[in-house]
Amino acid sequence: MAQIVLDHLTKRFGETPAVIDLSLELASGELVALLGPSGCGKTTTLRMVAGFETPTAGRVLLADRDLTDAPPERRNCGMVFQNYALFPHLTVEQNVAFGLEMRAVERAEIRRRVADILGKVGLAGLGGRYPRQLSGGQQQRTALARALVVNPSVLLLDEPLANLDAKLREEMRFYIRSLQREFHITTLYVTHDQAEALVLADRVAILMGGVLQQYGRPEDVYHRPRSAAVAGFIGLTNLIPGRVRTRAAGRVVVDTVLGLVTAAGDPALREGAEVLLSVRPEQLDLVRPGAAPQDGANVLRGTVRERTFLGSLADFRVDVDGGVVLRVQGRPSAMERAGDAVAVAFDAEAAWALPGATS
Amino acid sequence: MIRPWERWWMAAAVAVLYAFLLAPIVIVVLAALNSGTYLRFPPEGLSLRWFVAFAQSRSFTTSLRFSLKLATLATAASTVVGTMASLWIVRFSGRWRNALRVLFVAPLAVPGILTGIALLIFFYAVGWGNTGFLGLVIGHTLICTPYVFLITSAVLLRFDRTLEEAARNLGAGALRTFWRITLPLIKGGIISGAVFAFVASYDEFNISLLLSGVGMTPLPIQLFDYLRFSFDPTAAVAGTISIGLAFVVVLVTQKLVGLDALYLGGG
Repeated sequence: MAQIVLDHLTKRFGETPAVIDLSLELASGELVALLGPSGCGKTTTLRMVAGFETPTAGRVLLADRDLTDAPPERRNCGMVFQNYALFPHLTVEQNVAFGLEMRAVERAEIRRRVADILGKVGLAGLGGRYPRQLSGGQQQRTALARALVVNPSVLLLDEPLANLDAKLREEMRFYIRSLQREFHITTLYVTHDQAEALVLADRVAILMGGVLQQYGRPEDVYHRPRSAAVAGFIGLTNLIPGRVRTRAAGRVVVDTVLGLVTAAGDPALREGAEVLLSVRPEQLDLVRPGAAPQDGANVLRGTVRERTFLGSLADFRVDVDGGVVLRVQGRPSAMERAGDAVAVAFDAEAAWALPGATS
Repeated sequence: MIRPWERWWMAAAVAVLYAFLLAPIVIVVLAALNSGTYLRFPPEGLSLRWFVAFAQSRSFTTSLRFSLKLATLATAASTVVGTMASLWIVRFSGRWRNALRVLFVAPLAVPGILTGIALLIFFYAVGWGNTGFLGLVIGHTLICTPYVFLITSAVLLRFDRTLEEAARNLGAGALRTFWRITLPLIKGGIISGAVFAFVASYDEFNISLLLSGVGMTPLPIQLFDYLRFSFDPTAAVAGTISIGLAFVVVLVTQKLVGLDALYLGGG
């Protein structure tokens, strides 16, 4: 059963479209990351789900009810704002109790549930403090507790980690994930941070220019991007233009400036179609130029132009014969230096052919 | 780096400024304590005889009471009007916002005597020539509203509206969101505005001069009338009482709003 359904949602501000014909379904208990660069319409989408913006066209369904025109207070969706939006004149307890009071829950029951949830998010004993007396992480937990205590039918998170420092952000990712699993709550998570989306989400929806580009599991979005824009937005990639020569058994052979390359590709690709090959830098291996290639692997010859140390990785720029520069990332112990002749090897599986400019 | 002589120079400048601001107050208070018969400085001796004279003067005590009543009503009216106006103008007036703001603040910019004359002509033109007390309250409200409007607007402009969205999201309707979230958070600004409004009304001369009828003499008018014929320290006593009143009002609001300002800063 889909818990959140966005049905052909469009939002225009004046003449400017922010979201265009967006359809998305979230299954019960699923965490979906709405990912895209700033200004792509992801926050507008979230605000339409919460009821702060009215869609120009389309419908919003929460828990099978059409709530397109319902005011925010009738939607029963918990929301965590980017700046947390904690009420500064109320204590942590009063902040968390607010939603329960609005639902006319009995006072004793409120006290019990507030204490319960504060315990769950690790804020027991801090209930009497004001938001300004809390650290960023504690404010974040208060905002989560306030949103979850009312048993919302869905949870909406708007860049919840954007205001935390790097280390805390990393911790909170796993924390939010475990909390979301514990409550088994359908969650729409807006972020511009692709690493965050890949780590957290069951599925990732990539939005660019208000248009849904791809919706799928993190692995698929990462390894099987549907367009060059998606491939470029999620992680680093090498894009090599070419034309499909033959295709068989899920493999395509692509004619590129570097010679023939065997790759995986969309079954819909026809022979003769213009394509871009996307190859992730970490799936490329540097091998000795003379080494015999493994079965089915592609080998390209070239020269190391530049080597950069990235801590856990070494990053190479390799001039490949044919006039293309490839990014290769490997173990930092790799010995190749600038000027060394090398070969770049990769499996057919590691290369993904996606529709090129003209197809 | 600030050099020692620069620091000294700055301290001296501040001292001169404060002396300039405070000297009249000191002089009025000392003049009120004068034991002599005339309003003069320095006093010939210290005594409380003119305070007693003030308390025994029916015209002074009546007009003091009248001024307080007038200021209270004008403050109440202008606080409600000014707050409502700033809420609407800051949030909903769209492209008319700046024009409407200027219009609302206009009573501060237009000379009071002109506003007074305009009101007088207006009241006669519409047949309210004898509105008396009501006319005075309306006039004072007109003068006081800009103070409430300006300060409340300043607070509203930097008000974080996601707080209201959070309240709506948690199940509060628009009205409850206003009472539980918005109003408590802008309370400091409203109270500050009300204090300014009260002082402005209590102090207002021009409008009172033109609109006060028989038996309705606010303190500033009474003082003016009195000083035309008698130049004794009773007038200084009235001034001293006003200074004391302003002092108490500021202290009380400092106590009230000072605590609130902490909460405001926490957002």
